[in-house]
Amino acid sequence: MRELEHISSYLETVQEQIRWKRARPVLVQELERHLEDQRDDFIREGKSPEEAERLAIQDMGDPVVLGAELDRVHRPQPQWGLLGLTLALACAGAFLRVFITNGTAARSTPGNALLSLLLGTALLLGGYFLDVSRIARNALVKYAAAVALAGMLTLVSLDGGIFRALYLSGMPHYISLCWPVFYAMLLYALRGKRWKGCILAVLGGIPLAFYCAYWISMASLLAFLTTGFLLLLAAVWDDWFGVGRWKGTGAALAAAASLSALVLLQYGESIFRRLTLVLHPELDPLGHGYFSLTLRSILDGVEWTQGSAVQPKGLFFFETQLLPALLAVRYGWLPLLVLLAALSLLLVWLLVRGLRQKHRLGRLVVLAVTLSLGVQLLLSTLLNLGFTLFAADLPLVVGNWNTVVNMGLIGLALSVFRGGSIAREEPVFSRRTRRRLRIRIEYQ
Amino acid sequence: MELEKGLVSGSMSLLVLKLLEDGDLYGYQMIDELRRRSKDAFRLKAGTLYPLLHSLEEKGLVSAYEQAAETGKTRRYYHLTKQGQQALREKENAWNAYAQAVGRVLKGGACVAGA
Repeated sequence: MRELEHISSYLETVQEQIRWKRARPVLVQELERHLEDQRDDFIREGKSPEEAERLAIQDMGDPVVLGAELDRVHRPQPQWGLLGLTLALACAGAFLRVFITNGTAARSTPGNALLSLLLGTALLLGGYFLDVSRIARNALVKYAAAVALAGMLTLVSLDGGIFRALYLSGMPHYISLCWPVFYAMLLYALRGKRWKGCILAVLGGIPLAFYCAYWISMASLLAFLTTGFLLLLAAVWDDWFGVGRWKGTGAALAAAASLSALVLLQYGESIFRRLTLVLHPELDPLGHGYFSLTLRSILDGVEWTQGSAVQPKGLFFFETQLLPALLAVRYGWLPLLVLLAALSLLLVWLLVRGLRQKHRLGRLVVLAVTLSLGVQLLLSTLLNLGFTLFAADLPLVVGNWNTVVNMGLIGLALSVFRGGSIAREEPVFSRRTRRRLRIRIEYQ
Repeated sequence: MELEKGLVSGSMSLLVLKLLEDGDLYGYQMIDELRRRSKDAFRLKAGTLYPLLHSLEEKGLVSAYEQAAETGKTRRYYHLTKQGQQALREKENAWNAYAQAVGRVLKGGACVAGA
């Protein structure tokens, strides 16, 4: 073993053996604390500081062997499969936006589709190479920034000018797909804060929910509330707040039940009427049921490998959100089924991998991304089959901006998988840190 | 009594998992505890312990979390997972079977353990 007398030079030698640069500072931190503990113990036994440091280093063993062992355990985990599937779906989406919607008002220009694909790929890779521990740092500040952004977008929507144009582009809606990730950060920041944390977790969802409800749509609100509730449930089930798993879960369920009861009391009748019309649009054929009835009648002529014999007028498909239905109308059910199956596979794959993560915020971030996209997939599928509950964009397929945001979110989830082995959580300060004052009395 | 290295290294993960069965510990505590329980027979080097702990964490047998001590220093504590408890039982059984077999050979064929 090389003769190293200082902790810093010893740790430097250990780091040199670890090829994954991002892992180096994370791994040696634990070794440094160990060496300091050992050195302090030797000093307490009466050794000089220099001797104590030398002995502590000697006790730890050969730094080259230790570094090589750590290098063997910690390697970045590439996510080629998930990256490939995401890119393939995004390419298919760009192709469909340009060529399938050709002749309709919903057609995207090739330039815009390509630009969104390039921008989305940049965000996907940017997220993929992101250090997942960075998401955890200053989580509360990041959540506050999201709330501030929500507030700003709400205010500018009232004003005219360029901001109004940005608002009308639908961008604020796509940004709202990121809210669950920021809500997960809030939950993470409230760990160990007991009942105060639970209450703040519920209250913390209100500004983002208000943004979704008031300025975007009921679909956004439903998506955010569903995702947010499931994230809260996951956090209390893991006992993040320190109130006990069952108590926390009970409180979260009680809060959700109370909120649902309030909503049902206030809007119960209209919700029931809307759900009835989703299932039986024929009850209001010229009013709310018109859209569903028309779409269903067009889809009736679609076969497995063949589109409808009667092609609808392009004007009906003026909404980009109906791109999946248009795919079926032109080429049959099979291409649509393959597309939906591939999207479902991607989300299930992400979810299964995410639930296995040991980093708690990482796990919740993947859950937030998967649920956010999953709700969109479900609502969009229902819409395109003629069950008009809410309007929604099919992830990675409908909408240029939607694709960009979706790819960024998936990249974030992939960064959790890639760097999971070195992801470290910020410690929870369950008790106020105190420094003890030591008084030494010496007798002469 | 200092034991031969080869005897110890094969069973190191068993010993580490066993230590964690009684509660969560950080690396420095583990080395201390192992030395105390074995009456100084096992003097595990930190350079051996940490790669082993990280590899057990990768396999899901232990989980780790950081917690601030009263001194203000943050420690990385290790916790035995359910999967780790199962692995510990299997390793204990395998070790007992091995020890019994060795004992029988050393005693010249007489059954010593579990008899």
